Amino acid sequence: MSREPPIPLLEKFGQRLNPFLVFIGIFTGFSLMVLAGRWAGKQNLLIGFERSYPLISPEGYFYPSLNNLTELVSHVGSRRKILVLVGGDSVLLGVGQKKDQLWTKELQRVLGPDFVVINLAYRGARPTEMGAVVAEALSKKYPRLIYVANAEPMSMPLPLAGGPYGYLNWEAQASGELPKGTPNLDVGAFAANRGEELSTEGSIRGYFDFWSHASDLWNYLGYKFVFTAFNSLKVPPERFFEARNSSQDQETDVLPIPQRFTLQEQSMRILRMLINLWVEKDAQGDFRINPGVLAEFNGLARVAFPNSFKPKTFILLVYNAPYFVGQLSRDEQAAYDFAFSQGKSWLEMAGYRSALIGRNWTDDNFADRAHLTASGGQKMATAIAPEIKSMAVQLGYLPAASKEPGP
Amino acid sequence: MIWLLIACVTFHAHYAGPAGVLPIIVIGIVTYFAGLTRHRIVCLFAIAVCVGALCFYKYTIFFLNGVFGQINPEAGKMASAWAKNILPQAPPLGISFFAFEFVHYLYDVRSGTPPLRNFFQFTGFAIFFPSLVAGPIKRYEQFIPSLKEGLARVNAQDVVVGIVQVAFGYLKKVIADNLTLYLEAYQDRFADLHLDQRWFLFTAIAFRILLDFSGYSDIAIGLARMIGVRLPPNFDWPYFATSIQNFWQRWHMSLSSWIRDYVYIPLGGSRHGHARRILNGLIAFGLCGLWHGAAWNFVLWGLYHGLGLGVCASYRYLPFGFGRNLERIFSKLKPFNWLLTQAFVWLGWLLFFYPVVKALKMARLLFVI
Repeated sequence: MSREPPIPLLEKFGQRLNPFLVFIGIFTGFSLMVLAGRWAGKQNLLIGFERSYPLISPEGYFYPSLNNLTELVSHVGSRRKILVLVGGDSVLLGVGQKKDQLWTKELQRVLGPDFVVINLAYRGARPTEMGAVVAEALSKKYPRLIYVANAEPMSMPLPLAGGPYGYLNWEAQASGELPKGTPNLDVGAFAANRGEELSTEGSIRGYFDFWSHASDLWNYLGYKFVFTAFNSLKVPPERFFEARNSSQDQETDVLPIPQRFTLQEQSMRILRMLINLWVEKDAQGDFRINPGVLAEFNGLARVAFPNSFKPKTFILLVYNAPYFVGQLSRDEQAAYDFAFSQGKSWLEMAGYRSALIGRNWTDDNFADRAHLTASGGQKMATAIAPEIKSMAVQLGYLPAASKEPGP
Repeated sequence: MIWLLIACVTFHAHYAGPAGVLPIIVIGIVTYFAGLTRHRIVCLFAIAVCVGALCFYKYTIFFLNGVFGQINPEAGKMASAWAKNILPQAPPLGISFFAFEFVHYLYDVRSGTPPLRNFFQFTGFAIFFPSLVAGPIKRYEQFIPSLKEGLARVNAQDVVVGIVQVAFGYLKKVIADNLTLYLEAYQDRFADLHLDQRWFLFTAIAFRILLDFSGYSDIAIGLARMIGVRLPPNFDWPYFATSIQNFWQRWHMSLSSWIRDYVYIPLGGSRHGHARRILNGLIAFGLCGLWHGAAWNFVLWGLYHGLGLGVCASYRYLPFGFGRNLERIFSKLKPFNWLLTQAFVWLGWLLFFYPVVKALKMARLLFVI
């Protein structure tokens, strides 16, 4: 089964090369790429950006760098206006709403020209990821900034080290742009040494990306010229190499009621599981938040954002569709309401602004169990705009009386 | 040498973690001291420890579920639940490679080759970081001189050759990773694809494993070369092979030569007649398959190749001159030999990657519109 080992072709090739020229070439090539990446990172790549969609987000193997997102904000925003950065998950991303019906467009309209609203929500992102990172990294440059995200009641998860969005937190940490007190990533969900490994790898990647601008250059090439990773989300997938600027935001139409409310059993199971997790009854039979959940929430809410950033952070607790909530028993519905009202109170006690969204809304406002339709999005925008204006007054961005932009 | 050892220990400790390092330290120490004794029984005992550790960490659940569980399902379920409690979540990093290198060391020492008395040299051989995770499987008789000479005389040309090899390795990995994504997207819909797409996917399977594994080997060999150390080559254009035997001279060469020297030949090789030769080949390749993963499809893949080698080695003995005629025809039809060999190897990858029933169904669908 064996014979004399052959001299590999690469060995022969390598032997012919002049080492001096190779080292000079590597050094020059790397330096040029860093310079090119540095230049690319200063371009506003995402021209015409309304919100992320799969092919320009990590699920499509496109990982927007910190520079990509901050440059986007710099080009769309203005320091003369109040910057409203929207983070969070698919609910605030506007899944269920077509691009031209997007709720953040309505929010921009209601808030008026003194505000600039940018939707940096990503599917499945935690309130402390993506949009939050950009908001924190820009908090020095844009002192008049409000960050809006959504969360489940009694939940304020830290950015996940092993998740799809942790990379941006590492890059931002390496950049040194984050305010003091920004939390480390959550590696606790993994076994001890695996967590450490993720921290080290993620941290190294963050520093490498920050100094080499590798992601900036790669994203520039992938967005404008040619993409290098196969992705089945691309239609047809065989054309995966096409530049991502040729892709479209293709949110589909919402199905009529009740077809839109699929996954009945699964949805009800999720709802009941959450209620049982959040709420329990005490000896007198009154509802109370599960002490373990409360302790964990308080611990996380304390460190999820720097203290200086908490007053600028507006967390929305969005109800599920009445189609599903209505199927709960009276007792379960009461527990569900209790969890939301308590969630809001505890968030406010932890220093955040909070609002309940979607209570007593109709099925028309929901695209499925959790996401909002265009009408739901409009309602949300109308509901939170006064709260954002009030925050702007409290934070001194707007004078109380005239409600005009402050200095 | 000291700096290299520090780098190796750091690499191993970081990626394997305490639970992964401890078993390797134990079997490493057993191997080192057993080697020093040069005593046949002691070396045999140490070989048993290494093989036992490999079986314990990698194959316990498979044996309990796949073998014992087939005989007594209830007891198998209980035993595997118990085993899951005592076993770590994943086997120690690189345990298959550690076990094979230690077995080689002990076997050769037992056969009279001088052992490594210098503990640092032994450690360097055991945890040399470029080849620690997935080979190539080293032989200490070649590795230690290469290590000494390489570290003393590493030059700019070595670094350049290493860089070239690492760069090509990465390029192969990028292509392989894209093929992986392609396969993930389409393999479950194989039956729904057009015939040409099925063949494309079939080709992608073959190239994915070649580029992935040979890319990794290139990176490992290139990294070693950058510090002056020459590791044995692992791949030599295996898809140009014109017979199954030739394929195994070109594919994962460090493994196939290990299997030959430490399983096939000790079993008797081709020394005890034709039937025994085929049986030895089947055992050797059955174990080779099992080494790749703890599942029946890997065993079957190994047996499939063992059988293929057996047929290759025996067809010329078919009666009435039929075998000789066949041999004469094959010797004149090189392109046909190549096609037959690659068809055999590529169909074998279906067994390697998928459960048997699915693999057979996929193979059938390659010829059905």
